[in-house]
Amino acid sequence: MIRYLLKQMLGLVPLLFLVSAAAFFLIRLLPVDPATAYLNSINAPVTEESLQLVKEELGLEDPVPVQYVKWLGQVLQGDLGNSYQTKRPVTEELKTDLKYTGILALAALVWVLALSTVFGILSAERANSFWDRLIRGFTFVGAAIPKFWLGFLLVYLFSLKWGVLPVQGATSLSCLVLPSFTLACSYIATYTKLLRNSILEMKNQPFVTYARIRGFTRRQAVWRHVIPNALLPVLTALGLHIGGMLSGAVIVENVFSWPGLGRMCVSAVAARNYPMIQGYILLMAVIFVAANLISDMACAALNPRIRLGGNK
Amino acid sequence: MKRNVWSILLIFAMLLSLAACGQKKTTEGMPQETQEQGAENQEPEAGAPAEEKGDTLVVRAAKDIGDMNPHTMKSQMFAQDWVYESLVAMKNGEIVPELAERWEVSEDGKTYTFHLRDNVKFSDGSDFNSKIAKKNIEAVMAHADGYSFLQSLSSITGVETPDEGTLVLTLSQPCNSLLSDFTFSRPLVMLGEAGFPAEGDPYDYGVTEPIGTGMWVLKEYVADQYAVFERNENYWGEKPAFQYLRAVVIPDVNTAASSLKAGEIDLMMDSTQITAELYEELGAAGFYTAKAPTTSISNLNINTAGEITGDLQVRLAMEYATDKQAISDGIFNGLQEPATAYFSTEVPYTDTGIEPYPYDPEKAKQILEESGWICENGDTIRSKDGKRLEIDLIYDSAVTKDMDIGLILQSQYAEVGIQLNIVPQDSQVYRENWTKGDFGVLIYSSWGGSYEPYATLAAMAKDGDKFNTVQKGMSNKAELDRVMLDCLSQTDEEKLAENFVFIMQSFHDEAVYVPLTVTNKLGIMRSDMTGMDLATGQDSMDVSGITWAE
Amino acid sequence: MKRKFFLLLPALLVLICLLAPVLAPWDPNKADPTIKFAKMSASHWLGTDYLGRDIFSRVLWGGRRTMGYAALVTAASAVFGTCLGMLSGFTGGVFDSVVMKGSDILRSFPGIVLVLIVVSVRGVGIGSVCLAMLLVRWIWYARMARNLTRAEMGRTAILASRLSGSSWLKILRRHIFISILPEMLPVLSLDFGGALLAISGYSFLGLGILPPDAEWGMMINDGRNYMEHPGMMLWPGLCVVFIVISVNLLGDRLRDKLEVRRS
Repeated sequence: MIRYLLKQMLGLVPLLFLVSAAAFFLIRLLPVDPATAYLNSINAPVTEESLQLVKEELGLEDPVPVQYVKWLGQVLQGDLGNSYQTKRPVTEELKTDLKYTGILALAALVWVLALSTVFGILSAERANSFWDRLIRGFTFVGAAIPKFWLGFLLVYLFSLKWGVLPVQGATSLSCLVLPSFTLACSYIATYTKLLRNSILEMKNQPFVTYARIRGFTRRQAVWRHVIPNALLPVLTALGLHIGGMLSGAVIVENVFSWPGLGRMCVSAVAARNYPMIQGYILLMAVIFVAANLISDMACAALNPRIRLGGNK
Repeated sequence: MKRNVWSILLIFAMLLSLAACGQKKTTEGMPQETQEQGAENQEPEAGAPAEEKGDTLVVRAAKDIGDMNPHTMKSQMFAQDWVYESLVAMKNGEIVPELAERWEVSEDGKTYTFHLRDNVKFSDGSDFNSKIAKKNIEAVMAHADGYSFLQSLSSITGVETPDEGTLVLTLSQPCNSLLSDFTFSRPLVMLGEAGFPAEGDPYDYGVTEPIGTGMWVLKEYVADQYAVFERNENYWGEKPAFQYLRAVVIPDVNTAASSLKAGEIDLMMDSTQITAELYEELGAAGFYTAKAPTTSISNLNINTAGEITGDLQVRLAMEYATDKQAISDGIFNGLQEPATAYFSTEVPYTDTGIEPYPYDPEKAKQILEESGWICENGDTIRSKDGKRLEIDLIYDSAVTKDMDIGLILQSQYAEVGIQLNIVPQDSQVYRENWTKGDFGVLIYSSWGGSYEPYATLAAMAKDGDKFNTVQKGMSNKAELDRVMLDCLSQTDEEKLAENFVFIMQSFHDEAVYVPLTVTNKLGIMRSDMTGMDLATGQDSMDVSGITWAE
Repeated sequence: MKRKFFLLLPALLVLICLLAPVLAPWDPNKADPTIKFAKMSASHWLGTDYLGRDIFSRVLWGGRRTMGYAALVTAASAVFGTCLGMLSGFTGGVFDSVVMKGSDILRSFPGIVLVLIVVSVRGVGIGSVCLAMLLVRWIWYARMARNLTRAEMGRTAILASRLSGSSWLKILRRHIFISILPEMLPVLSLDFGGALLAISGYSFLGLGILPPDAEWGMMINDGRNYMEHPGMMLWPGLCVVFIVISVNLLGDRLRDKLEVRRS
């Protein structure tokens, strides 16, 4: 198990390296030189003196590889520099934002797991009933609806028309309902479909017939054997979808003014706040790697075939 | 499969009908409907006694208030205004007393004597006197490079404190902007002794505590979410009615409007984001609304050194072809009045009475015709020497309001045979092209407030500044620069007035700017409150007089 | 018959969007504030927006751009991914494992991060967004093409062709490409929907297509300022949902057909 884990981790090191290099060269690849970009982004006048000062401050005078090594050293110590706008350390800014994105993603995950299991099982158990058809219709629409549009639709109905849920903010649990559902919607659709198909497929498997022969009722057979097995692909897919979810969160946070990473990052791009952009990119990469590892491990723990190397 | 399709159709139909409901609502007597809706939304508020007539005023902040350092530019001005005060303030474009009760300027304009208000205490109980004022001014002077917009800092040579209540500034040369420099929300404001860090100046090391003499004291702060201020019980003037002031960060203006409707915030004030539609919609829904013109003017800047716009006749034609009223009506629903000159009429000396160019498309056509720009081969766009009369309007792709105005100008200019291309540019590229002079026209609002007129003139006369670039092609640019710089230190009132006439006449004759509209400050507040004051500068938020209505 | 009808309708929408320059009754950028927020009428079928621009014309032009760029990204990533995948499957060895490892790593990397990197360097604009999307989207095609190629390689026809001395390019083209093409089509269809959602999402955030040009996602973003006039937001949104549902259905149908043929 540990060997498998180590192997997976080693595979992800190149990615982290690549991303860190991309984050670092971000500033160096700009059409304007980084010192000018810095002065512009803080609305300061660009003069010979100020350029020289900034070059010293940002350590732009060393040769590029030296800069990279220095920068990497700082990053490993958790120092990502200061935000151009607020002058506060990037790590601190990211920490608070991450908390909110984390809450949003977790809440969305709760929606996904709760609703897709219910919908999936209901739809598969009552195949071709009215409910099944309605749920399958939902899976098509839910997967096709753009998040920002859905968000506005929900705000329009729940906040403006009926006034039951707050429009924005992050102060109470009720604020969380709309954004997290918006984020979750397309995943609920995807997983419902996945679960339905995999339950229906499982039902025809020999082990179900065998369980019935052994004297289980149909219902028992389904709950004990079919559903746990059918959930496995859902878990695997969840790991793969973490990246997509983080991308989706950017849009949702912008629609609902949710004070998370995504909103911060889009405004950082608009303001050309490079240290924040670098920080965001690195953080995303780390989260992504961690999520992939966890999902790999979960699958390996559930399915011994994988960790014994039979996944090719 | 077939059933699948039907269920999708069903859901689709549901979506459509939902949307149709929304559509119907707007087409059938919208005002009454929204009014009702507004009333409905406010009802639960009235039913909640804890909320009603509470002692906290909740306002919208478009951005996080920042670190509340009074000597740097990283905080929001409105929040700095709440906590810190300066010697003088600006109201309706005029300089009024604040911490200095009165002041005298010597004949030669080189000595300013301020008589400070008695019995003023900082929020921590310490006294405000000439000594702490000196400490603040000197801390700012030590970092003069950081404030390019303050013309006076380089002229101040001495800060003296003959007694506790008197502060004397001596200058190396006269400086007309000195008083208005003290009206900025930062950096020439007063921080209490205990707020200074041990290591050095607040400019470098921040503040240990935001201690000011202002009406409010910062009590609680959660970055990017909200800040709570408490009434300063030591305040020297009339204290605000509310015990607490809560600024909630809501970047998106529509979200803010929805929050207002839902009773989550009490008021919002803004000079850039609130649209005419929002203003009218909320007014119709029963909210209290008010507007006041600011001293910031939205101007079309024409590049006098541009390839095509370098031609004075083209610039003149553009002046005549611009229908300001249509922009005022079309985009701002008449809320923003058409402007007459680059500076607001409230800015001292600049109201020289020069008649702005009237809207006269025939005249514009005639000017172009006479200067050789003619329509050829059935083209509706004019050309001269094989060059088409195409002008690029560049704008920062993050500021779509410029594009909205641009699109209207596009159709107005097309009438007279000028093609205006709307070119979105990334913020960085936009700023660079502006500074380099690589554009035809662009839209920019004059700074307004304490910047006018001196800080603006200094920027216009400074080589390499983007304000200077636009004027590069003016026939009398060298003379103009000299006159503008002279304004900064000219003590002879008559001479000064003459200078301004020359400047305004040059702007007019050379057709550098097409003044479009006067920017407004708009305020929207729940209907059971009163006392909103919009007279202070466009970036501040004066909430001191707001109370519950009787 | 009804099924066909349901696929015909989106095809019609695609067609009229493609023909926007001919069919659109108005210039999509022509502002006329005197008629802003006009209701649906004979001259403005879907009404006008906050600048008095014709919403119907903008929906058509917007569709042309949104779908056009989505098609471009999908096609480019499909061609690149398939070629790389086929090569990788065909040659095997180190090249294969490098490509597969690389794609394994990037497989579910958050697309927004790449978009931000490219946008930060190149500035906002649809070019940056397309480039960044291309960087991750080829992977699915590469993986599929590679696995299919491996499976095909064992077939006797290919062995025979190899033995008869056909060049590798010819084998790839004549045998492998032809036989894996039907397998790729459903993926292509589904991926197009995804690309369309992504492009409109990035434009919504202000990173993709820039105003004043019309684009569905951006039109929705414009509409958020005027919720009292839901038409501005409604029509482009419905179009996105409609097109994406349609291509997803198409993808499913193609897949079903494929399964029937296989069994």
